[in-house]
Amino acid sequence: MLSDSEFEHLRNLSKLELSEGEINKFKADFNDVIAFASQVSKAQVDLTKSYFSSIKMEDLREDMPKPSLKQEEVIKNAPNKKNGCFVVPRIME
Amino acid sequence: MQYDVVIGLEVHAELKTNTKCFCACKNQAGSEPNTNCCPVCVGLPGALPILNKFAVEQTIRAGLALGFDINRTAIFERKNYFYPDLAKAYQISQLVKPICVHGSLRVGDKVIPIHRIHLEEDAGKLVHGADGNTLIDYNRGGVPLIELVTEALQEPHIESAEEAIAFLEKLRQIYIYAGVSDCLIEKGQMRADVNVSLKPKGSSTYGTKVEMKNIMGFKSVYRAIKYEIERQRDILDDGGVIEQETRKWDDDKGENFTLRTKENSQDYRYFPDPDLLAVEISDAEVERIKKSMPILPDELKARYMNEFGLSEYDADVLLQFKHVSDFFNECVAEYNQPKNVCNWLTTEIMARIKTETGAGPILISKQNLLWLIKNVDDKKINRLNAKEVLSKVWGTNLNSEAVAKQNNWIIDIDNGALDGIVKKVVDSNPNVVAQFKAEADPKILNYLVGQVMKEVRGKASAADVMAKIKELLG
Ligand SMILES: [Zn+2]
Repeated sequence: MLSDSEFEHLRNLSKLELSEGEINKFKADFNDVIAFASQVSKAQVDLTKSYFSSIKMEDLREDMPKPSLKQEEVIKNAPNKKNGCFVVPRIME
Repeated sequence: MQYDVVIGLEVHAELKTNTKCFCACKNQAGSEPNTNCCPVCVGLPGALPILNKFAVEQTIRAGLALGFDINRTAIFERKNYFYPDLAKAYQISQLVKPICVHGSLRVGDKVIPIHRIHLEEDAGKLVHGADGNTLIDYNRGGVPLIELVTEALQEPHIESAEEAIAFLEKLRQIYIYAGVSDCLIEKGQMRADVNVSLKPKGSSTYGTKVEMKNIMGFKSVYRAIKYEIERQRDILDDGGVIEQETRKWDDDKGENFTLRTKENSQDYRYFPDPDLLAVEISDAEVERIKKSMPILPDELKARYMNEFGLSEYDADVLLQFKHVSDFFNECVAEYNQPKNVCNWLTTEIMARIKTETGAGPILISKQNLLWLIKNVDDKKINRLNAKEVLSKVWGTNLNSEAVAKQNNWIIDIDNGALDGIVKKVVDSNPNVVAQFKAEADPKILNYLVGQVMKEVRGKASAADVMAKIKELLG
């Protein structure tokens, strides 16, 4: 079960504003998702072995450039653009 | 009260590669905004990162240059944070298994232990406008970046602003010589985060760390550290407590202020990036890279001093800029008079290329410079005239020999004729000769040398002329 403070932490990280109703709905959904994913822990696995797959360094991508997108394509879907750049509200840390 | 200062550094350097870390867009500064971008760069849904082999190789090279162990398995994680310089809202980085672990760097008499070097992607560039908006250019987003972190809990530590700068300068020199990064500081290719803590002198318990991120330029790093040490010393002397926090250095004001405290510290929620496989690095690959390592500054310095007999000062001047020591090496390979070549480079050439922030290109060919050095050594042109030739040839496609001939500066006067002129000058200046005989000060003879040089229009070696005059006067 997700505690209220854990849920609030996640909401905060996601930068979401939620109404009281949405909070209850998402909290329930979240717990369902966690319960579903938790089934994995019942699997019988040998923890002495590693299960991740790997790639040999030799087989990685060669350092050869390929054409990029055109600037207008890159910013095409931006709601706000200027001088070839994306424009967003100023966020200062 | 007396304190021990403990300084930790995190140094970011942009790698020199053709393409970005996780896509085939160009790794190239100075392009029009958002022209080196693809779906991976701007985080479009479904775009998949594909790791650049050479970025891994360059990271290994940086590690080998600093004596690191190379992990045989490297894993990439997602570092999640929400800020518009990252379109995906996470940065691909390394946490658990970085490429390089346990290295060190010698600064003066200290060998500073280094914890790790990992490979990650750089973020896009934000330009904050006065209108309350921010412009984003993702060209830099995805450029391969290595992050080096010094060892936090292992001695010896960096203990002063001076040592921190020495560390950064040495590291920069090694990266440049190893060919892993150009480290142009004004272009943000090398950036440092600094953490500072103080503890009572001799205490084995570390103090609370305060971090300052992304300080631009070594001078600012120096000032920021000095300031932070003083700030903490004042607080501790007054019986206060240091807060664990991140502070922002304001270079204009020369002070720092709280950016983030421990309570609202970032939660990056690292987890292995499911889009990227772990990378297996074989012994054979590490060996191959080891064999391709260029000669590094410490080794060159030893060669300059031990084999060539240069002073430590001269060796350091030559090594300060890689293109200067490269040029020196090429010249010496062709004309084995290292001291003479060094003198020309550290004086005449350095004077012409040194700028406020570094050094510009050498605007004379190896052949043209060597012609001058050799002919001065062979007394075929006098030093002053040779310097004149250098000035005329510099930045042009003129030829040293042609310029010397054109100006009639090649010494072709024969010994007998020179003897005659020396005798004539000595005979016509009896007062000077008398003064020399009375005072026995060789400086008095400089006047006679000058007269002879005027007669032969500089086409003789001043040292030769002086010797002849002395001989004549017994
Ligand atoms: Zn791209």
